[in-house]
Amino acid sequence: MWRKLQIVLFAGLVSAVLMAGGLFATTHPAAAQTPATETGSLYGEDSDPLEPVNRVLFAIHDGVDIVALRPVAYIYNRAFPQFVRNGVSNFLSNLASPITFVNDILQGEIDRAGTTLVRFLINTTVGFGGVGDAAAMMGHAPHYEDFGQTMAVWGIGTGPYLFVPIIGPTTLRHAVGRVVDTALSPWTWLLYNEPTYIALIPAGVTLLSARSENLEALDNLRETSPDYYASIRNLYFQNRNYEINNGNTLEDLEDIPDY
Amino acid sequence: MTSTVNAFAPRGGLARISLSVFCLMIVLAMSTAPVRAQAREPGAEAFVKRVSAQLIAIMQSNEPKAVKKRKFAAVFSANADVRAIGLFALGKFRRKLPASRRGEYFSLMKRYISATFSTHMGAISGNRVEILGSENRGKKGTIVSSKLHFPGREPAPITWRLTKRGGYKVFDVRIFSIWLGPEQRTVFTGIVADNGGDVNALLKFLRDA
Repeated sequence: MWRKLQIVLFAGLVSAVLMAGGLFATTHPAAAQTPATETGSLYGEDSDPLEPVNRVLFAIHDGVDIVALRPVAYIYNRAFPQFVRNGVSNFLSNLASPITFVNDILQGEIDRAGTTLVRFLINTTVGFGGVGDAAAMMGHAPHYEDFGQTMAVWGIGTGPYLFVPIIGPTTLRHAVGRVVDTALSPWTWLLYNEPTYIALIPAGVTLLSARSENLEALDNLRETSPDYYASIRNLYFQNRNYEINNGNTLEDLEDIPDY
Repeated sequence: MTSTVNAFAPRGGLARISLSVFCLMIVLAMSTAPVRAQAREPGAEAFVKRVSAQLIAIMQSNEPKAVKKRKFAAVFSANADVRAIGLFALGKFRRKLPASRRGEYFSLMKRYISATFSTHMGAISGNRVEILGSENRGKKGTIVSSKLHFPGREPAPITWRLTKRGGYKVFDVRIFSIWLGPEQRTVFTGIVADNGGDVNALLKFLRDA
């Protein structure tokens, strides 16, 4: 029982890492429109009451990242060509389709649920089990939903911003949502009776894939930002706001200043 | 024992495939891409296409990094609304910048942002830009949606936010889901806030950068 709880929690935490990794992930802008929802501070400055603690945890995370996560991701990028890495990423995304599908439904996005179902069917068959994204080539662009986004659509507030080492940036609402998503993930149930080290493989590969996709972007950010912590927080909130509103964030833009 | 006949029950492999295809057709029919009508701005789209082409040419050239950065700075200087970007980046501390220091601030900021953006642009240098549409959003500027195509990779959605003071100028760029302007503002306002609201600290940072 304890082992299974560990697996579920770890998978949930890694899912949160995926969201952090999703900072620079491609999210198609031509998504269906949903009303803007309460997402806390748009850029996060006012949603970080635990900033002193978060900064310490961020420093720990950054150290682990420099010593372990980044080097492994670098080797992964060097060892495998782009099409192999794309295949891994596609396969993981395809198997996460049930999470998106259920949350599409919970958000009342029936058209998008249809797209998710179509994508899953096409990619699982024509796309060789999800390795290829044949659906995107047929005009069915990917999108991702999670229970944190669903709660946002339902009007539940973000809660405080949290930075958890290895897990990355999140909010209380987002973290709770990932636990629910873990229950919806096929991995949780496919590997339910497997030994822990096997059950953790998908989470590990997901972490690796997400980190490798952001290798250059995060390197650039670390190099150019005088406050890496604040930049990561800003990017997290921007990306999260974009996801929650399905890319329709233009209404949130401030007016351009006069001079 | 009775047997019921179900006309929809799959019979054999072919029937199963037919049923699968039928289901696939149903769900295909369910998914229709939403289309949003927009009053497009051809001038803005042409501007973005021209600037994108200039940037792609710089990124694709085999010149040394320093030369690329210099050329990027020239494109940035000629096509960015530096004053609007600078004032936006100051956020709530905008009023703390005395008029007498504005020129110095804009000059330093232009140099700093140009260098920073050129670093980020290098990470997404594609080989072809595709304009998807445009719309005038009044005080929020003119929005131009585009896609940057890469060989062997998914295209990157790039959204441009333009001002129109005489001609079009770039105010902000969104790469995937991230606007660069707010990110810049986070950095600038953070420096000012950490120094008790003193904008001189920001000017010093920009001078030393």
